[in-house]
Amino acid sequence: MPSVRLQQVNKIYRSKRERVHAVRDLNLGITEGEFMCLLGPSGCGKTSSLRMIVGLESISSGEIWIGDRLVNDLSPQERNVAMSFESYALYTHLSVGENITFPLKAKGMPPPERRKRLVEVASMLEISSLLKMTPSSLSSGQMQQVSLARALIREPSVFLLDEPLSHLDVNLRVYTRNRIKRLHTELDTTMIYVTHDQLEAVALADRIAVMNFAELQQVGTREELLDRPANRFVADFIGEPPINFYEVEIQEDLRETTLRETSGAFSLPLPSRWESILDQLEGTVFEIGVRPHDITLHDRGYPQSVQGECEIFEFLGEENHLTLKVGEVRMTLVVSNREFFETGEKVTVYLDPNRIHLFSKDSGACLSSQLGSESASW
Amino acid sequence: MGSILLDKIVKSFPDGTVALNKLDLHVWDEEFFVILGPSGAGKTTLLKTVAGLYHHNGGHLYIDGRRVDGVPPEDRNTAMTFESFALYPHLTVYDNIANPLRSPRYGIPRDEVEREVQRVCDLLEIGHLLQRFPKELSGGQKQRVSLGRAMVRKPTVFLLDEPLSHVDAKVRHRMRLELNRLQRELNTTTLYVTHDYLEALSLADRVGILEDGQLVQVGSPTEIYRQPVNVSVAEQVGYPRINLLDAWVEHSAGEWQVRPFGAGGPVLFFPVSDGAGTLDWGTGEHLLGLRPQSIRIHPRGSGLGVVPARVYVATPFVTYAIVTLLVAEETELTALVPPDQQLEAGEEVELSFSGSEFLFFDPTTHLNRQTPHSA
Repeated sequence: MPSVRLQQVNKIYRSKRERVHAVRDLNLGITEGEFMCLLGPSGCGKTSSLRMIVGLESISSGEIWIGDRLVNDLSPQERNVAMSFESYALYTHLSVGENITFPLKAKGMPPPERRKRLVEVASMLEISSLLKMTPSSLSSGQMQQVSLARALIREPSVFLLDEPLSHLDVNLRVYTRNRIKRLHTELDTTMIYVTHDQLEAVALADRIAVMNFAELQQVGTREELLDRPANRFVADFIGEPPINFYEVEIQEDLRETTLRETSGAFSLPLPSRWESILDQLEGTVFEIGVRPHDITLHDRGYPQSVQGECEIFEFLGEENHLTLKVGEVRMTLVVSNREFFETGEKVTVYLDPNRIHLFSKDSGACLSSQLGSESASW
Repeated sequence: MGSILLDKIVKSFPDGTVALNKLDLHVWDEEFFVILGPSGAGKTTLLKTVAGLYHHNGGHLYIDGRRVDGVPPEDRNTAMTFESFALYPHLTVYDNIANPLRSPRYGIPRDEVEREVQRVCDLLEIGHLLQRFPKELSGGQKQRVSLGRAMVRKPTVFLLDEPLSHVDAKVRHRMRLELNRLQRELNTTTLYVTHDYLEALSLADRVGILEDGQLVQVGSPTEIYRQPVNVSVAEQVGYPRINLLDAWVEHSAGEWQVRPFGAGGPVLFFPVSDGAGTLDWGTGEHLLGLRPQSIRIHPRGSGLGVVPARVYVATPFVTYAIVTLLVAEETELTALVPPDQQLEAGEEVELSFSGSEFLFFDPTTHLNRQTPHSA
């Protein structure tokens, strides 16, 4: 049974002048113990969705279930969920320990039991040494830990986190992200995590729900989103450096069927797994997407090879990026940090036919995601 | 044409803070020079001093061979862009860009202003935005307009202050490529400050690392990454952050023996001379710098690794995975591995290392023992 279920959920904000549809017909099931990320650009409806689950925001239509209870009309306290906020929302006049135990005190739990829970939570988050301090003397990373501890001590059945890492510097972010991931492994609590940062989502989540313009675009694991994106938006939003897109058309002659980039920059053999949908493609212009990591350096001339000229070479420490000029278009690929190129140098690369994504030009839907994988044909 | 020469520049503020402390810097003609440093290092102060928005209290400043101490900003022929873009909200994109040319002191005729704005907009591909107002632009577009405004004046040098810090990751990647391209077309001497090491490595001919008002290292991107002069440079450049371990190193029987995990921990053996050349490490205590990328993780018992470890957290990203490991139950190590390497928290593994990629620092001074400390 799903631990949290959203059915046809809508959120509409109304003011005298405007009507904003913030969340549209959202259907999403989160299973017991799952780590789910809501991912999308700002304004996509992810935070509104989270706030409706917690109960901080009313539901315009639809149903939200937590366990076997319909929670539409329950107060936040009655839902047995806990939320950690983007801003830490700590009481400055209370010690760290008092901040953490505050929700238990408010519930009227006796002090010995509160203390026992505090010791457990503090040791889990490794903040036992901070309990006597006041929030003002903590670093932002420590404040985030305390805010997590305060949410956790209630032993909620669902734990919601709203951009918890956005105010931390790079190194603290890595550290805190590790803690959150570790915590989820240890607790097995259902976690729902909101972020606009694709890397954070990919790093943490069991599954990711990608949203854009108030609508759910796709729900899937990291591999599913990368290998079989539902549409152009998902393919473009996830991945770094960003995926390369090209407009192509089918060209057939007596011997073979090829994909021709519309400006004539390159031609590729039609991936054989696309033959089943060939009649859909003939006579139309569509788009292909190739990720920079799916393009490899290759001197030998395969039919899938593309020749270009180094336009921009970037040494980036851990890996190097190479942007080629291929006719009128550009192609970015990732190479190892031992490979160096000069501007103008001729480069031959190989595009893995199994890793080329095909998109409809009109709807943006990814047509290749439904197809099987290529047999070794070359 | 335009070099920039800072000769023992001192900039202090009335409250006694010394932002630039006898700073020497020579940016060559047509060079793209990036100043990298954390916030508060003095990066913006340095730019404003070159622009003439701040008066330095000591030393001499030369632009294009001309001494400009005390010369007002408008007579230095520099153009600066600001982190906040600083566009006029009530003016269109066209007027924002044309504005510097309309100053009565230049007396440029109207049609020439128009031609100049057109040239710049073609270069930056913002011709379709000319009638819009700044509030109708995305972060990346604002950035281009702000660059356009700097470019119309055909300055001797560009001074760019964190131009990409307010645009999102995707746009930042695209703008980085655009700046690379632009630099090749314009060939104008550029002094660029940032706290993002990727920008520095990507764009710079040379990088200068600014710490406490002084440049601690100046070098090409590969030098900065491969031969950092000290621990703090090594920590600033690279992601995830470099691992630092207290190590004991000994030389015996034609081998180096390295103990990076305490006296009782495992020993690593390296031949004195390997394929990459002679390893000259020196006996004694070192602070060993280990890039996350130089650690390889193998299944326990495979015989491929030399140090037993346990996976604490394995985080797969799109194109790599970051793995936090525990060695001898207490030393934490971060490793960067391919994303398809399946690792579970708690899994027992063994590690191998590439000795030619080790960095050795002095435990007290934190200086790199293998690079000349010329900076």
